[in-house]
Amino acid sequence: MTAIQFFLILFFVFALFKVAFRFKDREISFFNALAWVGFWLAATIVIWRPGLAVWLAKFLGVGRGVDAVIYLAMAGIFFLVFRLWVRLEKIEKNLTLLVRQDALNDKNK
Amino acid sequence: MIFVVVPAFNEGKKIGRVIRDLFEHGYRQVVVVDDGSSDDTFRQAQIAGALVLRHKINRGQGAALQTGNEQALRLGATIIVHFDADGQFNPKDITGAINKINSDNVDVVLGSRFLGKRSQIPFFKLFFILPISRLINNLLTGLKLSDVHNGFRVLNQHAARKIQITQDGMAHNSQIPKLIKEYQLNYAEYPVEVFYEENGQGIAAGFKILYDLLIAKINQ
Repeated sequence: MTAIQFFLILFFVFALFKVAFRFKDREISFFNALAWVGFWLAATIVIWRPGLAVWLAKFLGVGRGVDAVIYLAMAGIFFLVFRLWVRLEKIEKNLTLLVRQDALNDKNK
Repeated sequence: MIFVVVPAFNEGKKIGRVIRDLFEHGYRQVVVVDDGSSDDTFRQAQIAGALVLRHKINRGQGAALQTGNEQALRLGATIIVHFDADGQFNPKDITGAINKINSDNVDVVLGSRFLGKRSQIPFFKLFFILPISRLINNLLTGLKLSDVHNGFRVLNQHAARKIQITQDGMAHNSQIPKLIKEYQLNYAEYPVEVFYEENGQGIAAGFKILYDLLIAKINQ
């Protein structure tokens, strides 16, 4: 095992623990926890057995295994950013509604 | 009943005079929405005698206008005037604009700096920023107006109920014409005088408006 494999897997295990604690504290739902556990486990397996990434790269028609992982990760990250952005916009709108309600109920005070 | 809605953010030095000016011109129902100012805007507006609402945190001019509209409608407004807090507008223009609502039988009257010759518009703004903004705005809103992003407008009750401003920032200036078209409200433009000071909206603010509109489009 190379140093990068070791550190990445260590980080993924840390991330798995984080997910477990968040679930235990009821901060995330069961399905969210399951999805994140699946994601970090898959990442761990790909790092642990790089041959899998090579196989995936061949299957997808990409040259190197690491390229396939980077492309997929980029797509995933952009999707997450988009989701966060939509959520943020919604929170902004809701915040305005709350502030407005408060202002309307609280005139001249 | 005529209500003047004044959104205000950090206008403590000017808001009092603006309100007193409105009172002197016979507009007694003045709703100021202090949009989370860090100065004494709220207190100054209260001292001047307006009905003052406070956004505890800053939500933008569009959000403040919508709050003001809702308050005015609750109090039975039949006409709502949008008026800036920085003293840029002339209260004398309100009467003419309201008369136009009645005489032309329209729902909305939008102020325009270009219909009259009274506004001393800075050169760069007149020949560069405004023509470009006008073109972009016409494309985005589908409404051909001689002026863009002029905060002076008069709405009758029907229009005020229909036009729900959801663009919290400055992009409400583009959203309102868009909604006028969407709801097929009758509108007219009216020449207004605008007094310019140095700290108007710059090019960066223009890009922010475009960004807000783009996001609104994606979120639709």
